Amino acid sequence: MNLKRLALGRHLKFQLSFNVKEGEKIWIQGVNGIGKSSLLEELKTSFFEFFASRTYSFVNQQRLNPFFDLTLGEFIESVSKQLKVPTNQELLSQLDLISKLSHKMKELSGGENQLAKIYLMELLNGDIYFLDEPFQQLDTHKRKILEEILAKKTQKIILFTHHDNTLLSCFKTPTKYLLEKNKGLVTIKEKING
Amino acid sequence: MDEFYRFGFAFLSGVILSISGSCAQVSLKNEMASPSTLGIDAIVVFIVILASLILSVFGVSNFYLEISALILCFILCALFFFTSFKRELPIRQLKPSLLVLIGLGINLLIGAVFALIQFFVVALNFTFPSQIWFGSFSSLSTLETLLFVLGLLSFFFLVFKFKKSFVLHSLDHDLAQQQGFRHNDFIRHSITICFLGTALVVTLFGVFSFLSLIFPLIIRLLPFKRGDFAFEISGGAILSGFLLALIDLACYHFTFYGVELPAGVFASVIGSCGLILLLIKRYQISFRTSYQ
Repeated sequence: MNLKRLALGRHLKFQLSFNVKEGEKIWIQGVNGIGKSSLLEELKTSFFEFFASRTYSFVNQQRLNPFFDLTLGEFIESVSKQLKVPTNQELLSQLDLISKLSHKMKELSGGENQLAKIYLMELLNGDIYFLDEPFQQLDTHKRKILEEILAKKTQKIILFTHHDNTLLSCFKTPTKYLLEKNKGLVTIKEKING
Repeated sequence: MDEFYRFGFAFLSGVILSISGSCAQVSLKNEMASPSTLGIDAIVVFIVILASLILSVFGVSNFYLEISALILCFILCALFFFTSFKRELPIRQLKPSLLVLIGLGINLLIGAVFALIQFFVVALNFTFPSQIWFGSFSSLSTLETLLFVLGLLSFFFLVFKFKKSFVLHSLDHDLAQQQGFRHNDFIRHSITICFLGTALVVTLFGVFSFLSLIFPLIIRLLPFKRGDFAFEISGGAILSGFLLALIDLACYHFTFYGVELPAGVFASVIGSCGLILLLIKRYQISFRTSYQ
């Protein structure tokens, strides 16, 4: 994949040659507010264009937002019905969502909403993953569960943003792209392997 | 026989308006969205006025007004449907309340333009389609019926072809995107369905303001199948169809000094009251939430 030019907003302009291999993990790094999520969104759009036949799974920073006033249980049931996949009770219990099934979606806390999105990510099981700060609002236990889930995805392409500079245990040798601000213009530092 | 056709047209118009309203509300995730509040009704009225002026300029009989306006709408619909947007639309950044305000502004603007043109046209002794402003059901000519059936088939084809996309978008926009339903296509399909449905009803029968807003809300009051968009655009739409047909039947049988009240007037009063109640309810909710 070769993205000739990406222009995000008014401040982020750069040339980026982007080659992705099967099973590659791509980590977009940078300080808060530099445009990691915008870059991930831009890459997502480009991936749709280049790999239209592939399937995708996302975890982004937006809340799940059903139009109707549904409970989490009704939402999960509707999703399973529409996608024709059985409800994964084991995962729901692992993520401590069973007790939240009767709660209205709008009343879920940020962390519970994030867990519901992780559940959907697993249910959809796409070929390519876009994870925007997937560990945000998760406690240590849930973070560990998510790391275990992601560690098993050795064959999948995963693009993710994570503000923490410490290497995640679930990805052994991710390709890192560092976003930096230089004279008011955001640039991408050469990719660093490992 | 006339009564039978009239009931049928009223029923089908109710179904169309209800589906159009549901699609608009799910697209913008806002219960105030509808072809009326988004200004689509007004745009179609403007096209009818435009068609009327074109026919007057070329000296063609106003008998062809509805047909020419509908054909113009079909062309615009097809052009819009086959236009592709290169960039993904920022669906989450669309501000539904702002779009509704813009839509209501368009309604007011077209209303003012309508009154102004009517003044000049009547002064110049031309015919003017003033009957369009309040809808009523009457029999159609053969050509009009054929165009109505063609439009109706296209409308239902689009609704059922993109049903899954609408159902998934009603659950979550990102979920639909992950299943391959792009936001751009969804918005394009939604606008096409709303425009086509509104064009069919407004050009042939006139404006039924706010019914497309109120029907989906009435369906959601039903105790069964709540939160099921697939039911809303099938069983729910059929119920709305019967409701409009009954309103029209009442208007037909209960005349005022021998004059029939257009069903559109009745619908506009109910619909606009519904919009006001909805806005008050919203305000009360946000007021309560801010003090909790």
